[in-house]
This record gives sequence, C-alpha cells and structure tokens, in this order.
Amino acid sequence: MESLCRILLIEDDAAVVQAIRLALRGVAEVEAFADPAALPTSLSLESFDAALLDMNFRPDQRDGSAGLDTIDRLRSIDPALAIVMLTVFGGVAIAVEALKRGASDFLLKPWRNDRLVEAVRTATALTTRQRAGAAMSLEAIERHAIVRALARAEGNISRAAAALGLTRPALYRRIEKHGL
Amino acid sequence: MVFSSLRHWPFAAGLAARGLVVGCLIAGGAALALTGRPTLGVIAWVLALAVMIALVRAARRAERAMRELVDQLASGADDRPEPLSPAFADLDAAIARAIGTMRARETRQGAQADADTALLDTVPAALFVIDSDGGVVRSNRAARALAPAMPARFADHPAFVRDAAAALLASGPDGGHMLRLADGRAAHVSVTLFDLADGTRRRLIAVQRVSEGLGAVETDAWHRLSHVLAHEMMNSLSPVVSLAESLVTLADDPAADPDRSETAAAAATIARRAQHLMGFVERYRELLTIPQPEPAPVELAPFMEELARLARRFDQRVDVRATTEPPQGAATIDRELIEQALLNLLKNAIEAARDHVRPAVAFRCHSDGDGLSFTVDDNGKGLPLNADDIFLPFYTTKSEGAGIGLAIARQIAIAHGGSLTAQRMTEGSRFLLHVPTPRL
Repeated sequence: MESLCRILLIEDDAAVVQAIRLALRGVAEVEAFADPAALPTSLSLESFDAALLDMNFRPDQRDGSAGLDTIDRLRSIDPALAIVMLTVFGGVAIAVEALKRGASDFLLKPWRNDRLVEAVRTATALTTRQRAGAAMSLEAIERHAIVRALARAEGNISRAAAALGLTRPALYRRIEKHGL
Repeated sequence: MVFSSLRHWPFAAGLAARGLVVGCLIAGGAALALTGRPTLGVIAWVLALAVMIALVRAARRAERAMRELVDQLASGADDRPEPLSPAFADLDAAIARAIGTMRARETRQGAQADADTALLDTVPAALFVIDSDGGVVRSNRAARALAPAMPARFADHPAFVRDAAAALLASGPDGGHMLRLADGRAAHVSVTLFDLADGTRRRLIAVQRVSEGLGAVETDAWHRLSHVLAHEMMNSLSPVVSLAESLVTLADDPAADPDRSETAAAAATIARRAQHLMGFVERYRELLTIPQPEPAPVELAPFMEELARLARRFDQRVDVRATTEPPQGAATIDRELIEQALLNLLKNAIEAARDHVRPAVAFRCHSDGDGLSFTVDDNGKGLPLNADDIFLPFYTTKSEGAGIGLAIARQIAIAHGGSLTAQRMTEGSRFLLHVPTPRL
C-alpha cells in the first residue's frame, strides 16, 4: 500500500473542499484553507507534496489575481512545491498566466475524479524530483565555485580561500569532500 | 435731415438749375417777343427747348442706370455693378453697402447649408426626402451608400423590396417599424411628413440597418450574460460532478465508509447544490417576467419616506435620508415596480456603506419637465473596475447575493422608457434611476 501524500488546498467553496477530500480518499491527505490570508505567516511547506489552488477566494474577485499572488507567495517559500491551479471553464488566459508564474498544471472545473487523482500524483512526483534536484544542484554549485576560485588563484589555496570567504582548513575539507 | 438732403444736391441741383434756366429762357423769350424783338425771342425758346431736352436726357440716364443695376441684382450676377456717375456718389455708396450685406447673408446661409449637409451625412441612418411625385429630392451619405446609384424615383430603389418601397411612399406618418431589405437584412424604418413654405408636401424616410447598431450591443450583452451564466453554473456544478462520481465509488466499496457518514454528507451537499441551481433558474425566470408598468398618480414625498423607512430595516446603523424636490410633487409611475427597483438600489447602497465608520445613504427624488430622477448615493468603497457588469444578471460581488437586484432594477427602468446608470463619486457610488413621466 503506497503511503498517503499531503496536499495543501486553498479553496473558499466548502462543497469543493468536501468533494476534493472525498475524491482523494486513499490517495492524499488534504489540509484545506478557505483564503490565502488564513495561511499562517510562518508557513512551512516541507510537509506538503503538492498544492491545489483556487484562483479567486471571494465573490468580488473574478480576475484570478488573488490566485496568481498566492502562486508567487508559495513559490517564494518553496520553489520546489508543485502547484496545480483549479480554474473555471473560460479562464484560459488566467491559466496561461498561472503557468508562466510557475504553476505546474491546471485542472478545469468541473473536474473528473480520475483526472484529479492523476494531476495530484503527477504534481507529487514533480515536487519529489524538484526537491532532489535542488539538493543535488546545491552540491554542484559549491563544487563549481571552488574549482573556479582555485583556477583564478592559480592553485594558491590561501588566495582561493580568501576569495571564497573561507578559512584554509575549511576549504581543504571541501576540496576533500568534492574529491578535487 | 438738412444734412442728408444736402448730400443729394449734385443731381437734384443740376435738375433744378436746368429747370430754372428753361423757365427763364421761356419767360425771357416771351418778353423779347412782346417787346418787338421776335427773332431774339425765338432764339431764347430754341435754347429753352435744348436745355429741356438735356434735362429729360439726364433724368432718363439716371433711370436707365437704376434699371441696369436692378436687372443685374435680379440676375444674381456676382460682379459688382458699374459705378454710377459722380452725381450719384451717395446712392452708389448705399447700393454698395446693400450688396455687401446681401453677400454676407448669402455666405452665412451657404455655410449653414454646408453644415446641415455635413450633419445629415454623419447620421448613421439613411435619410431620403421624397416629393409628392415619389422623386428623391435629397438624401444623405448613408442613403447614397445603400445603392451604387441613387435612382430618381424612390420606388425604383434597389435596396428595398418593391412592395415595401410602395408601402413607405403610401403610408402616413410612421413612428417606426422593422422591415427586411432586398438583401435580406433587417432594418428599422420611420416616415415623417412635412410641408414646405410654399405648401408642397415632402416625405422623410429614415432607414437604419439593425445589425450594425442595436444588433452589436445586444450581441455583446448576450455574450457577457452567457459568460456569467456559464461561470456561475460551472462553479455550482463542479462539486456535484465530483461528489456524484465519489458516491458511485463508495457504493462499490461499502467497507470504505462503514458508518455511511461520508456518503450522507456527500449526498447532502449534492442536494444543497441542486436546490441552489434550481433557485438560480427561478431567479432567471423572475427576471424575464417583469410585468408591463401600469402607471398611476403617486404623491412623491410620502412615497420616498415610506421607502426610506423600509430601507432602514435592512440595517439600523446606516443613516438613510430621503429628500423630495419639489416637496409637494406628484408623478404618474407604476408604484409597485418603481418601489421594487428603488428598494433593490437602497439595499445595495446600504450593504455597500455598511463597512464605513459612519455609514450613510442619501436618497433623493427630483422631478422636472423631463421626468423623475431618483438618486441613491452611498459612502461605501465604490464601484468595481468593470462597472457596467454589475447590471448583468447573476453578477455579484457579495457572498450571499443572488446577483439580480440591479439587473431587475434596470429592467424596470427600461420598461418605463427610462434608464438606470451607476457612477463613481469622490466617496462611494451613485445610482441614478430616470423615468420620463408627465408631471401632474
């Protein structure tokens, strides 16, 4: 039995929340917020595997800008978290803008349950890949920076360490770690 | 007076002098003849005759010059008439002034005619002026654009079906009806009859293609309405579709929901949404069935007070003030319909003002020659960006709103031949309901 993933759902319509919870039974555990304003200020997204995001959260919002702003906010906290937008029929322009801002997918309302499950699974897999990718690339960046600093200092460890803002022993430890 | 008679002295004095000379010569000749010098007398009379002929010729010359001048004015020739002899300098100057004034008036009239033509050409409706024999006397640009060449007779116009053209020529004054043009497109036509100063009768036929004016506006309105409808319906339906699918899955696997609580909750939500959608359709029907207004005299001040009293019940905290101008005014309106429209506006204004520290709604009625103007001002946060959308049915910015209050109010205004508009104010917004009605 595969383990449940955790989904962050931001949606103001309680009936939609209920429907999504039920449709994702056995697939994902859903934590729902009615309004992005209700999100805790020190929100940690590490425990979530994907986010499902409505575009408008109040009846006087129709242009989707609240949803787009929320994408920006979630991306600034954790750029690796995959975001799936929930959009209503006819909102193609908004969907395109959402994808440009970094959402990974969108789901048209009304949705079919199997399409919802598929979108959540794809988003979860993407989040996992991006988190792994982010970790790997941080290593690669460090290695690249050290190689470049050494080349500029023409092999002089002291100068390279100064350029990198490190002590000599610290640089030695990293050179060893990266097998340079 | 003395001065002005003196100004004519050259010609008049000439005539008088000649007359005097003729008189003197005749009298002198007679005296000479009686005193036994007949030869000298005859000579004097011959001289008198000669001066008389000169006098007559001078008078005839003046008369001919005047006749030529008048002939030239009558023929409408543009060059200035030849100056008269110096003896008529004053007359000449007066004539020059008269001609100048006439020219200026002609220029003004010409400019006015050009402006009228330009104005007629900007009218999108095709206009034809027809004489009593059915000939086209005048037409504007839109009329000329209807056919490659304007026929001499309206009955031969290719844009009109022959029977329709004949009916337009035979009908009395017609406030307007729809007809089909020869190319199958719909047009709105009206006929006006008027008499010229000389008693001849003219017929003005105005034709406006519908697809190019009203059609575009209506299409746009329907487009926007169907967009709102689709949006609201899809929003309402999306949980229903998903929940129904989930219920099917749950029915296949009773162990997944042993106490049936999930199943019951899902079914309850589906039922609620179905009710909501039904209410939606019922409100739509309500919107389509606004009755024809039945106007009756209404005393305005008590009417306004009553409405304000009802409106205060929506929210006690909001300060609702009603004013009627003039206070003793009365008007013929459909009381129930206008009341419904104004209550919708007042409810809207009160809900808009509610969040203000000192919420206030000013409710005014002003009657004038044009009709009745009701304004409802609130000090709320103002209109949304796309302000005209608020009149679309089912468009709402409120969580509990049905979205048809303003749409109904506008429909009622239109049914009265009036209008309902919204405008942004420095603080809050204003709704203006105007109804044309004769004052009592």
